[in-house]
Amino acid sequence: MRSAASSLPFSKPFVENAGLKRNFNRLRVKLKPVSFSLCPMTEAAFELAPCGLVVCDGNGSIVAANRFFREMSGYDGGTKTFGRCLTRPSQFILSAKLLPQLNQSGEASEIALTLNGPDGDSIPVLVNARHDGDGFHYAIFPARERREYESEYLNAKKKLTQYSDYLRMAERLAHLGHWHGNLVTRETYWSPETYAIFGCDPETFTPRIGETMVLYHPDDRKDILATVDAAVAGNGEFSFRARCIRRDTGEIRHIETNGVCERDESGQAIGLFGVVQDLTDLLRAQDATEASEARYRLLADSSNDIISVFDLDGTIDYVSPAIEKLLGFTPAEVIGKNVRDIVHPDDFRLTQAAFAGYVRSGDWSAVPRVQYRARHKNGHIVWLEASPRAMLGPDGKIAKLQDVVRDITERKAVEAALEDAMVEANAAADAKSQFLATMSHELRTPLTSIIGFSALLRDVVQDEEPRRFSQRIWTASQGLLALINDILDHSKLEAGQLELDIAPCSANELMLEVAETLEVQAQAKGLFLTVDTDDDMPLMLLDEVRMRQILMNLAGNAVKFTQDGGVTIALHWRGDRLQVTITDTGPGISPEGQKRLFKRFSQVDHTTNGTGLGLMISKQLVELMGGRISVESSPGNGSMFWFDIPVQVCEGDADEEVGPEVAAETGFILVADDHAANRELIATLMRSQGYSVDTVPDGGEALQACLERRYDLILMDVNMPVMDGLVATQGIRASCELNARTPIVGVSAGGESRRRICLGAGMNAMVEKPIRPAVLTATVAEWLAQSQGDFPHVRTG
Amino acid sequence: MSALDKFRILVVEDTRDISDLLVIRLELGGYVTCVARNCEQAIAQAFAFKPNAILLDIGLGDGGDGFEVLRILKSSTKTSDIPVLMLTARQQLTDIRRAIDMGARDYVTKPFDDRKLLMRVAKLLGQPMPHLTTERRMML
Repeated sequence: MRSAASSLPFSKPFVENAGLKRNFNRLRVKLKPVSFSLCPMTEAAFELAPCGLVVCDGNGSIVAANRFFREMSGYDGGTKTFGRCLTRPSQFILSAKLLPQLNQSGEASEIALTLNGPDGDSIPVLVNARHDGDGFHYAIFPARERREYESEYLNAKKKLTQYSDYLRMAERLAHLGHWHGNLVTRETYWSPETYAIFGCDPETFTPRIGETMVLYHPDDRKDILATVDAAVAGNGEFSFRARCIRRDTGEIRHIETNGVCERDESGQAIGLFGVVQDLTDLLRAQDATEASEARYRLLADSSNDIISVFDLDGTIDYVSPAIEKLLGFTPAEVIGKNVRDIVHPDDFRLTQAAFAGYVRSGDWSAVPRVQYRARHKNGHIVWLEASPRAMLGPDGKIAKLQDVVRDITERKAVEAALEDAMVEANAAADAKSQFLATMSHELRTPLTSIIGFSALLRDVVQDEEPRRFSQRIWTASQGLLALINDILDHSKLEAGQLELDIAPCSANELMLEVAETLEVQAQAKGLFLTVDTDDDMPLMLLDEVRMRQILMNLAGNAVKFTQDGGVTIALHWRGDRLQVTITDTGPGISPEGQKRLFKRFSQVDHTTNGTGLGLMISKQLVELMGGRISVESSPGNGSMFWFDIPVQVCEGDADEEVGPEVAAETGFILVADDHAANRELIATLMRSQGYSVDTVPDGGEALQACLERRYDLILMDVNMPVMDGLVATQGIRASCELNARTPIVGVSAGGESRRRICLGAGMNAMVEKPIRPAVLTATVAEWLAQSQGDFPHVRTG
Repeated sequence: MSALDKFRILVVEDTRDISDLLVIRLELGGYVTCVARNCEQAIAQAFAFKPNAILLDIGLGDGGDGFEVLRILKSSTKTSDIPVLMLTARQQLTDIRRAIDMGARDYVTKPFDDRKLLMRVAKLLGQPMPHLTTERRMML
């Protein structure tokens, strides 16, 4: 105990404190009855030790206990054994473990025991104890406190390690090293990243101040020294950029150092601290950016296309010098003006609508091409084609538009010339077709008399011979009529002017009707005529007249050329196609004959009647319907003619599907579809419902039409040339006041995903291709009802 | 059957041969007929003759147009209910659509089959299908 007390370093100042001295005296008084005495200094150390100290006699009774212990245990200085200060379990540990150990070895340390506290609480403690001849000495530490100190220390150590790790990581990520140089000892400290920047190995290179200069490029050394010296002499801060030579690779790198000078109280510089950064990559990237900008500028300056940047309100930010070549204005004359000043007034609305459509679409990948006219500075018109692209701001939203504008005046001129040529050609074709129509009309009128009067004669004349003669006139004139019809059909098909008249039709009934007509001829020749059809053949959308014409031609030929056996006609429904085969047991056709078969004015057998136009017209009709026709045959084995055409199915009844012919509904509908057959089909269906219909072949014309008049509903094909249905829809929504709220129904194949795209573009609904009349008419009626309910005052039709 | 009981048919046709043929066929079929050769006559007869049905050609000789006749017929309450059958050498789809749109009930192209024409006329009048063979024999 004595030795422990003497090692306390703070004994002197404690004793000097007068207040404490009084306490010692009191303690001494209290301790008087016990035969325990210490010199005053040791006594103070004993009393004030920051742990509990207890001296017991050989029986374990407390002889002396310091303040720390008294406060900890509530011991009041009376007669008590040390054991009685402990909890019951600890008393057991004391007697069963600690005391035997002390008796045996004289010392024990860090024994965990629990004291009864002054407030009846339990205080875990660690006890160091010694036993000598006449007593026991205990030093008691509050266990919790000590553990807390330890864990605090460990935490702090951990944090420090962590911070130094973070620092290292931060250094590495920032390519930023730091260093310190002691100007007195000439020693330096380099952070790991500093070593990395200079390419030095910390194991083998320990730089001293002054020696680091060799790491810099010889040309830069003088400047560095001058800078640092000036800092030491001046305000203490320095900063320089220099080239260093990496020690490992010899590579020259660009570094930047920022530092401060450390001073002692007298202002004498004692150290330097600095951070160092490798700027080489940054500088290279800067150079590359500058080079690329220069190249871009060169491109923009020398391009024949105008490159421009303008705000969403049309204010021009930038325009490349090409504008002078194209429009005669210098960039300076145009920058700051509005695109409205450039675009021809007649084209402005449409152009603005297309741009607005793109801006609102949010789909930046679909770059629209917008054609418009502009006026050259000297007055003439220039045709331009713009390809705007979104420039996004930092918030990811569109901020500006970058536009590449091309002069398409020449292209337009060529297009116009082509169009003129087309118009001329069409006019010629129209004239031809008009001529044929007139001729046909002119031929028909006398033929009507010939046929009519020969039939009348046949009917009223009693004598056999005149009746036979009048019958022959009648038959020949029927042949003449068929020939006129064929020539007319053929020339219409050649001119692409034959229109299909598509309506719901039962292919089975049609086939049976054809068979019935041919039955008479077949029976007369002793031939069988079999019709083989599917029972579940659905109602289809067909041009009944043309379909009958094809069937009559093929089946009629088969009956005509077959002498023995017969003809089998088979119709099969293949999901989306109608397949027809006509098989005969006739003479068959040689391969050479088959080649000529579908050609103009060719007949396999010139001895037979007919113009040879029939098969060719059938082929053209099948192809017009989008199908194929062919023949399989060999001489002696009969022939099989077959064709198949894609057809759309009507669900349910014809009447229910297409509705009454009498106008039942009102409404003005715009139909946009690039495919003439689809356009006509949709228009026919709509007309059959009593609606008025406008048709256009592409999105651009749809937009134009919507600018000009109000529609009650728009049926919009999605895939169209010039401008697709999505862009057109966005344009209509964005800038056609008349039709901004008109229901737009998309017409497209492509299922649910396409439907979402359509709705996203601003359409109200989508109907699937292939078109099912019932669905289309129901959708149209539904949306018309909604829109007309919304705006009864603007209802048209 | 007295003339008063018979259906009256107005034939608007500028070609003499064809109007004669139609008149013979229709009268053989038991109808009373009246012929108009141009627009004016057609309108006048539609009011005066009070036909039960009209057979109307499109191309009328004096530059007149059957469509114009049809439009006028359909615009007057006195004549708008008379069923009209267009009988013409024009067979373009556009003409057919236009005629139906304007209110024509049927459309037959020339040259016509006399039996079929009579069936279409009967249909126009809401008559049962005429048994042509027996009727003809009777007439002859």
